[in-house]
Amino acid sequence: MLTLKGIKNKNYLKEREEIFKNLSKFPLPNERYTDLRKIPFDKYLKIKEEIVLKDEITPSDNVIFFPEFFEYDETIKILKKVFEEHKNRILATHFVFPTGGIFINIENKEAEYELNLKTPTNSTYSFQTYIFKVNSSSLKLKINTEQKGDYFSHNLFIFLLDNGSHVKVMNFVKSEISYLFNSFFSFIRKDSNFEIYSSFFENPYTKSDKFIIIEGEGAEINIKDIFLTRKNMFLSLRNDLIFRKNYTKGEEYSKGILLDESVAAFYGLARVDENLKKINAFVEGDALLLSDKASFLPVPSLEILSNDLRCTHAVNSGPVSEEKIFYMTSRGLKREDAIKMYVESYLLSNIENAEKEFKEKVKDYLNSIEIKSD
Amino acid sequence: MEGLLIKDLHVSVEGKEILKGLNLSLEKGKIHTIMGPNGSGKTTLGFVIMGHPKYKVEKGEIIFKGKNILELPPDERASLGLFLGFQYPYEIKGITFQHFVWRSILALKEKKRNGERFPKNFIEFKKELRKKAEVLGFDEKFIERDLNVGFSGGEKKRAEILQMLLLKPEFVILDEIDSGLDIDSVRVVAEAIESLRSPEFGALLITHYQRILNYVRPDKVYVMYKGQIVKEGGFELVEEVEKTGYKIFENS
Repeated sequence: MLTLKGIKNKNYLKEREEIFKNLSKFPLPNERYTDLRKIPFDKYLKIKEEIVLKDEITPSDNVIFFPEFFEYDETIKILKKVFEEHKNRILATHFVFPTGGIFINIENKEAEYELNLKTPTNSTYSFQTYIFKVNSSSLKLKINTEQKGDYFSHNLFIFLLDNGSHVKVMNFVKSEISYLFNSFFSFIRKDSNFEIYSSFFENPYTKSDKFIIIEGEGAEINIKDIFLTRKNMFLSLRNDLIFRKNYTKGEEYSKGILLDESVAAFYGLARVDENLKKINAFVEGDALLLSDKASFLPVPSLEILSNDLRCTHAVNSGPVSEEKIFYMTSRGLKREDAIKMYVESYLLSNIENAEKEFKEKVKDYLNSIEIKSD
Repeated sequence: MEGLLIKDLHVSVEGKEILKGLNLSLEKGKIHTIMGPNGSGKTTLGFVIMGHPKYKVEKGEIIFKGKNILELPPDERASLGLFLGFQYPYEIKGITFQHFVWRSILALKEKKRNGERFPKNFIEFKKELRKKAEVLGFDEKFIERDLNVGFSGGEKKRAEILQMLLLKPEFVILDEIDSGLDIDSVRVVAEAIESLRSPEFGALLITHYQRILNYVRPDKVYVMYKGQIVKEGGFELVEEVEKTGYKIFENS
């Protein structure tokens, strides 16, 4: 059993449990929304300010901010779709206690946005929802989660891609909050392509779930996660690829470094529905353990109900290769520099196709910390 | 003596003794060759000179530049001017060849080895790299590829020699640098080694076969058998070994 060592203030867990216990007693979301109008306007503006969009938003972008977000038919329809896929309490909480939300509809254009997620309110919890509906378009999205503080945060990202859309997400997480939980729900339709590169650093307790529903022929998805855990950090990565149409391709690869007494779990699933053909699925989780006390718990799995497909899964974990470190030091590099270089190359090799700026951020972070092998 | 002096070296790995009281005097300004059958301890000797942590030195000394280097980590041995060309160079994904060599040069510069002989900046380094790669017939596309990743056996060996030329060592140990090379490549690699011949440079070639020695003429030849040097001589010893094999040394 895992102990949540990273939680600084145990009251949050207790408070969360209370919320969940009493969830059924709260009014239905539709009734609850009316309360949102009571949010003071200055707080609403603050929430709005925290979301920085690189491009100038024009009315044609159809951006809808919180709280109108929850009164918009399409938003509700999309959220219901997510609920149908995955009924759990944390998603329900987004209806009951939302602290913010944004809906962006991108049609027939190329867009580039940047979301900088910081502390949205003074609350002890934060439930933010971000929806991107992308139709015949291309979107580059940078998400920087660099939150700080003693609170619980759940960010729900929903992507709907259709008609040959292409979305590339660079998801950089380096927070210092009690409990960070990010969920991605992506619905990939005809001939669309979704790439998501994520890096996870620093946060004491982090959970990241990605549910990718491939529901259009010719759709492709590529998930690349990297992480470095240290001290008593706990990280859980869950990536589910759900194949529902023929001629589709999905790949997920998580790669990380574990130091000190940190723990990382990787749950990678590829599920192929019945009677499908020409499916290509790949699931892999690799880790380098730089400490005897660190643990990597990989659970890759395939649930295959069709025959005409190519699915592979693998996990690898072990210490840093002393042979390779010797090779590097024999050319003049100090051991600690060789290990750092090796670690950097190990992680960066998994995000080769990410944007340069994202890779630079990862490098800067790795250069800012001490990396030692026991 | 200037060069590399090995005295009564006993080395074990995982409790098994591999080098059993080895003595060698490898003078600077000369090219030396060690020949020997598989398992005689040749590769171990190269690793121990360079400081591989897996090998335990039970007894003995390795003297270079008047210092017993056994207590030094590999990077400090490199900064003294030693270089080991690996029999099986490792693949390192995510680090390009040029980036790795440049970082190694920067590390050596920091330790003030050969400071003035290294390129001043990356642009100068790139020029020197291209020039030397061309001489070696090392395809330029590999310079920007990950270190040894996807290289053929021959390309890996050329990459080792190219690193040797760029890192400008004073004494090199080349472990079976000729294996995996076609005959033209053997000649190119041999010429590169010969080009370094000078009173300030020494080399130890570890090999099984005569092939490379037709192009790099060794000044001294040693036969290693079961962890010891059993015979030494000039080039005639190479020819003798080619003719008789190593069995005749069984009772040495």
